[in-house]
Amino acid sequence: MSVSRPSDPSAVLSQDAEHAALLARIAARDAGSEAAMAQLYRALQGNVFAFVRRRLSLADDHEVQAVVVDTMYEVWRAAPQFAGGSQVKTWVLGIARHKLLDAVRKDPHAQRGYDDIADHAETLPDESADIINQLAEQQRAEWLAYCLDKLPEEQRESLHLLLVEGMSVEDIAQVQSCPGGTVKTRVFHAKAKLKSCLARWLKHEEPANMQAPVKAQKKEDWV
Amino acid sequence: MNQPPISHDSMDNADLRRARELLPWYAQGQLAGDDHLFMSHWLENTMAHHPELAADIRAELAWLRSTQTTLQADMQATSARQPQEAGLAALMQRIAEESSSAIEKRAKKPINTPANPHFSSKSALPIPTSAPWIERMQSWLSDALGMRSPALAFGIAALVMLQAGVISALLLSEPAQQAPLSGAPNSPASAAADQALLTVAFAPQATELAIRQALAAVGGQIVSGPSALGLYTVAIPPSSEDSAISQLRSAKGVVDSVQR
Repeated sequence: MSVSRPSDPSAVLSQDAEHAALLARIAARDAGSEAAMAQLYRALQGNVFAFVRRRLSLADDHEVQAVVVDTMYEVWRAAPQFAGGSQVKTWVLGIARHKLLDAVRKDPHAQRGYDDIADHAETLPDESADIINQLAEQQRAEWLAYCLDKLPEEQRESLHLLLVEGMSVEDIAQVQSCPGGTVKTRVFHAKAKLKSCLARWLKHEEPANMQAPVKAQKKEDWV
Repeated sequence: MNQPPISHDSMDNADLRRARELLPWYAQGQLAGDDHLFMSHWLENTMAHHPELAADIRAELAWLRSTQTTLQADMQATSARQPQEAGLAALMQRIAEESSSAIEKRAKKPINTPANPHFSSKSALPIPTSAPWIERMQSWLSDALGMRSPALAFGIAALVMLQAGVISALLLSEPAQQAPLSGAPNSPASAAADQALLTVAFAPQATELAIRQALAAVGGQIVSGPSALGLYTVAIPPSSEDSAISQLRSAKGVVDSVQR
């Protein structure tokens, strides 16, 4: 499966135009609407899954998939209301955020509460800029995911939308329903905490519950 | 607009904080306006006058790039292991259930067309424009024909889809479901007893909304149909028969033919 994430700005516009055309066909509610919905689902479900997975770090894949289906069903229902004020992907991820917050309200344990391990990150000397480059490839991915999971949810979301989706401040603000200044602040703190977390691991200063990355642990271990 | 170079003394914490906040988006080429201008000048000044800070910024950019690469690769791997088709099947199932549920609800409603004496403005607009085409057409048919049976409504709807050129194969498979419409109290057929009847063929591409509007304009009401040939019987007030025929015939793209 491919994930919809071109880096070239012109490719982004072209891809968004394709998504918008699919959305218009869905909104038309004619014989081609369901086929268009299937196309849009295939185009964006990877982005939605990754976004929801980043937030619901303790949910299993089926629970995450259920949120994805909820999201895309809402896309189907709300397609006629799409006004074109943003990229389709931004709009869809905004819907996904509402759906995952619904899921969290129903099952608060689906996401892990952060433990403030890096709240003092800004007070540390910034000597960890190249820390991640010192990790082996596999470990890097696992510990990066682990440290991301330790961030406050909204900071984690902002960082995901910036680094994984390559979104602008304005787009992230739309998805998160907050001012652009808040997005900048969230990313600023998220970066600092992430570096601090990785630095602690590299220096073997991690607490006892940092012995393994989150992927290797079961949900009940964290609750 | 030219900003003065930032002196060492003016490299205050506020500027440094702002620069660090904006750096990720600057690196992605996503800044504009004042933010872009500020970053351009700030970086220029930093590179020229603050080599240690410049090295720190370069390391920050390398960290961002490396982290981004790792996260995007992880996202690809995570997405690749998902049961995409199972999720899609679940989605389509929900969409189908939505349509079925709507059909059942609509089929229980009394007749609702502007020509009906029990017409109410509220119930005349029960179908949101966001409803699926088939749902809207089925609902409209259920209302217009006073159907009490979802199966019957669906059978009729399938024939209208034939008229729209969507499913031609249903023509011969569904005629048994076209039960007689007369005899029931308040049925459209009995309501049309003192009205003039016209045989109307709607254009294949006509939408439900366009048909509804054409009928409303002449006070018309579908009382039976479609026939095996896709023809509908429409009841109209007898006093306006000639003008109604003329009006319907002028509805290009909606009505193909009208016969007494």
